[in-house]
Amino acid sequence: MAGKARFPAGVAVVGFALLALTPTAPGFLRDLDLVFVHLFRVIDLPIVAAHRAVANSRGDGNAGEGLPAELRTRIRDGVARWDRLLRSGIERYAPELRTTIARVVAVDRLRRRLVIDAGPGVELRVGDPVAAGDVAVGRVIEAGGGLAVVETPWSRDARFAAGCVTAGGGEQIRFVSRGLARRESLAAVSNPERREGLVADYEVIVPNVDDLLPPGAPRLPPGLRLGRLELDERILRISAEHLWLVRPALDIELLDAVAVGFEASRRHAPGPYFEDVAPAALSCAALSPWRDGLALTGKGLEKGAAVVAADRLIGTIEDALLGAARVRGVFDPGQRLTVLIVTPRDAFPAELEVRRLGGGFAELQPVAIPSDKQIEEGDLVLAAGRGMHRPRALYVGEVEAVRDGRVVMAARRPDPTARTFVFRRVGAPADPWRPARRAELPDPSAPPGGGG
Amino acid sequence: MVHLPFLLLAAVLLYVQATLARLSDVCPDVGPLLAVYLGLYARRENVAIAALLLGLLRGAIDLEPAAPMILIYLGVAKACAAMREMVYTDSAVSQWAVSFAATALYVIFYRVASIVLPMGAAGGENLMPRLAAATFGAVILAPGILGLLRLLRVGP
Repeated sequence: MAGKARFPAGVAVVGFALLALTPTAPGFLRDLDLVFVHLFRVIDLPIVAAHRAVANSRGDGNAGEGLPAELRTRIRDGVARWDRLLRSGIERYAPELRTTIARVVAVDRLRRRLVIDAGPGVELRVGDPVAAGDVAVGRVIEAGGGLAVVETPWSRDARFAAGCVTAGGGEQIRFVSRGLARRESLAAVSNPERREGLVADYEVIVPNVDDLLPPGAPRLPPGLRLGRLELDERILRISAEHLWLVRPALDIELLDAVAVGFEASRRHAPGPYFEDVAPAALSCAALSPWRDGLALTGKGLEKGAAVVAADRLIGTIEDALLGAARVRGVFDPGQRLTVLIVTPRDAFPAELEVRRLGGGFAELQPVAIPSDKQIEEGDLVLAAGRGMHRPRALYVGEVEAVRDGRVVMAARRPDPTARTFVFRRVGAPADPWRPARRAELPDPSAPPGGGG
Repeated sequence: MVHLPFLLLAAVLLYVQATLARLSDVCPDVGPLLAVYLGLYARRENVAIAALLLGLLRGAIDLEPAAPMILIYLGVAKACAAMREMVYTDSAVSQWAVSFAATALYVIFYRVASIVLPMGAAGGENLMPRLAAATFGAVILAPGILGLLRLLRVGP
């Protein structure tokens, strides 16, 4: 007689793995392995204690506590310089407005829109102008809790007043800049006052439309730059018609922050707007052997939160479950970083891709960088505040060398004894693209949270 | 409960490996050797569950999602189990040979998984060479680690 039939465990295991791989699988199924981080944490405790004891006996027990004062000053000065540059356009062209700096939380590459965050102490409103230096970025179309969605002139179906000054600074030709539903970030020119006056490479600026709009209607400060005129070559190949396009003056994907203009009467109490950071236990050994990553245990771990140890950004939480989280390190190969480069004289945004990791160093390839800028040895690299729970200008490292166009940086493993923090934005909405429908409204009368 | 000793010892070995990886770039990957142990010495009915636990442990210590690692370890363990009758498993030479073959299989599985599944290993220029070096480097340790696991009778 045959024995009792048993369900083959191998089939069950394969089924479980395949189910966990499906995109619609519940989070706990996909991240079930994170439960074992607690097991590693138990093994880890004596090692961290021994590490701390050795550090104390050597007298460098505070080695992992933070950045040197000189480096902090350089960072603060560089960010202040960049912020002054961001504000300069609105301050020059709309001196009646006050400005605030808002970090860029997210960029919708397809629809060319931004989510910006000025903090819960700042009241942003629909129609507020947004600029980066003397370049117009767009205007606020939805706002709430210090967060706002910004429509740019290159957003689909956007309508912006634009104009170009003819040669010799003569008469201005005004037109409507109409966002295109194209992959390139180009806006179409429609209804120009004089089509025959348009010439390729003319600078496009925000015109004065006081004769067209009623007073008080939201508008961008006249004089800000938008981009440059160019002929639509694709249309020219198939028809004799001359269609004009506006190429943007800057790449909005690179921006780590923008300046927002608002009336002087508006409530404005900027301050730290990240919740008092939650200390998390940094696991000493739960690190990927060939990648840059680590595991954390602790409270308040949320997907997308920045993890900082000894004042350095070490990564971003990828998955979190039951008090354990997997952190993708800042130097994990294949990762693209939007950063602010601080040089002794200048500061500019850039996008770097981590190409190699090994020997204690990471090689990063600049993917996007302003054409007139160059990264050099000794420059500081600060991470942009992408994501809801990541402050801007977190220190990543210093450029050790530039070899074959690649930026070489020291990729140190985090010190297990260093103080580790995880950031959380106060009053973060469930969907950053719907800031008005935020989950938790901060009390406007209450002082902003500490930390950050 | 039959899996608990194996689970704990595997966790300690993976922990030691990750600790070594913090100190040096040259670090053997003992994960495939644990799968070889399962294939050669574990009871056949326990191989799948042990591979599942191994994959979950590895997922916790690595940046890759656990599901592909479970499939990879299960594949390696089953391949070794198929070889069990063909080799003299007490011989160090056999252990080296099986470990080498299993390691090659592991690297191939990993490479294929990194192409077809949402894994990040394809992201860097030197990730796969480093992974292969670490994995093949561990083959030298095969008799020692397999012997230790058998000596401690960790099952499963």
